[in-house]
Amino acid sequence: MSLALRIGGSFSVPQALLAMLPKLPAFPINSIFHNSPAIDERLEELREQIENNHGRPPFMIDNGTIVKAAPKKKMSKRRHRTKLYTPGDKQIHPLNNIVRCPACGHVKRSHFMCMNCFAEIRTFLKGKKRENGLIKDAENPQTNLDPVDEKLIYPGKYLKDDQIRLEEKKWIPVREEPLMFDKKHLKHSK
Amino acid sequence: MPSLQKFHANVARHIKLMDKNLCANLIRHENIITTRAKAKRAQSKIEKFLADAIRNNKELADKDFEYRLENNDALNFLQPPDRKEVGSKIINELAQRYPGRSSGFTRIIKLEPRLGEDKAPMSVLELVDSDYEIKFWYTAKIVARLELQNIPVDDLTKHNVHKLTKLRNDGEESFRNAVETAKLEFFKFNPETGSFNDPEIEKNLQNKPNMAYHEGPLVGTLLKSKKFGTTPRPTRETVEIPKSPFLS
Repeated sequence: MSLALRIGGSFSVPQALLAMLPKLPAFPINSIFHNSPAIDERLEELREQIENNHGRPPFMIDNGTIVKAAPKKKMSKRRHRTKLYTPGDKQIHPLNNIVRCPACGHVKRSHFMCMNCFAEIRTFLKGKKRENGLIKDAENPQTNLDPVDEKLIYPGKYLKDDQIRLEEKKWIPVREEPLMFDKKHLKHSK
Repeated sequence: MPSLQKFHANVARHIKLMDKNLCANLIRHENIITTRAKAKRAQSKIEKFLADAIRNNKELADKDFEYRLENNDALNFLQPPDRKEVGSKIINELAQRYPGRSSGFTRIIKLEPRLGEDKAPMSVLELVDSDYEIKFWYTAKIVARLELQNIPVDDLTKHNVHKLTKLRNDGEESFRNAVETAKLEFFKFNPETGSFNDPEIEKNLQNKPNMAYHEGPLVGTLLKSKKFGTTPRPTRETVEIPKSPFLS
C-alpha cells in the first residue's frame, strides 16, 4: 500500500475514535509570537526572577538544577583514554607564555613574533617593495580600450553560485584578531 | 619540530638543492617565510656562503665587476642560473652593506604555527641591516607607539634599537625616519593636526605597558643580575709611575 493511501486512510478515522486518544496539553504559541507588542506574562515573571531574586541563583529550570550543555556525541575510547590516562606531554596544555605585544598592545606568545603586527608590517613592506620597483605587476596591455569594444571582445563571464562562493575565498583560514592584553586575565601574574 | 631526513640518498640531494634555492631567494627578496626546520638548516649554509663570498670580494677589490663575478669561487655554491643575478647583488649591494661583518648576516624570527592542516611551525629568515628587515620595522613601530603615548622608551627597546642601528649604514638616521613612517603607516597619525584618523587606533593607544619598566623602579635593572647583587665597577684611577732611575 502506498504512503498516500495510508495518509488518506488516517483522515477517515471517525471523530469518536479521535476523542478517545489522550489529549496533548494545549500550549498558547500564538500568544507569544503573534501578539508581539504585548509582552508575555511568563517572560515578565522570568525578568523579575533574574533581576531581584533575593540572593538565590537565577534562572532555575527543572526543579532547581541548571541544565548544562550536553555533548553532541559520545567521546571515542581513544579520545577518552588520551585525556585521562596518557602521560602529561601528550595532553594539550594551556599556554603559559603569553605576554603583551609592545607594538600593538594585544596578546602574543613570548619569544614569538606578534602575528597582528607581522601582517601589518608584511603588507607595508610589500607596498614599499612595489614602490621601489622590486615587485613588478604585470601590465594589462589593453588598458586604453573603448568600453564598447571591451564588452565585445571580453564579454562578461557567467559564474555559477558555487564558483562565486569559491571566489569569495572563505575557505582560506584567516587568523583572528588577538585579545587586548590585560594582566587580570593571566593565571600567573608576572 | 620535525628534522629533515639526511641519510637517504635522494633526500640528501634534494636538501642540498633546497639550501641553494633558499639562499638565492633570501638574497633576492631580503626575507622569506619558511618552516622552522628548513630555515634553521639553511641558515648555517647561507652564513658560510655570504662570509666566503664577501671575503673573496674584498680580496678582488681592485679588479673590475666582470672579473670579480667570474673569479669569486664562493659563488659556485649557487645554481648556475642564479649565479649572475645573485652574484651581482652580492658584489654591488651586500659587500657595501656588510663591510666589517664576518658572520651574523641572517636572523630567524619565530612565527606562530601555519593556519592549515599541518600546523607547521613557521619562521622568517631575513638579512640583517636591510631596508626590508622585519625586526627593524617592528622595533620602529614600538618606539612610534611609545612616542605617541608620551611614554619614555624602556631598557629592552633601547637595547634592541642599539643592536639594530649599530652596524647599519646611517643607522640612527634611518631608524628615526622609520619611526616617523611607522607613525603615519601603522597608527594613521596626522602630524599637522596632531590627531588620529582612526578612532579605533586612538582607543587602542589607551592600552599602556607596565610603567615600572618605563619610569618606575625597574628602570636600569634589565642588564643587571637578578641572582647576585653586584656593585658597579669603580672608575679607573690614573696612577703616576715614578721615573725609572735606569733610564737617563
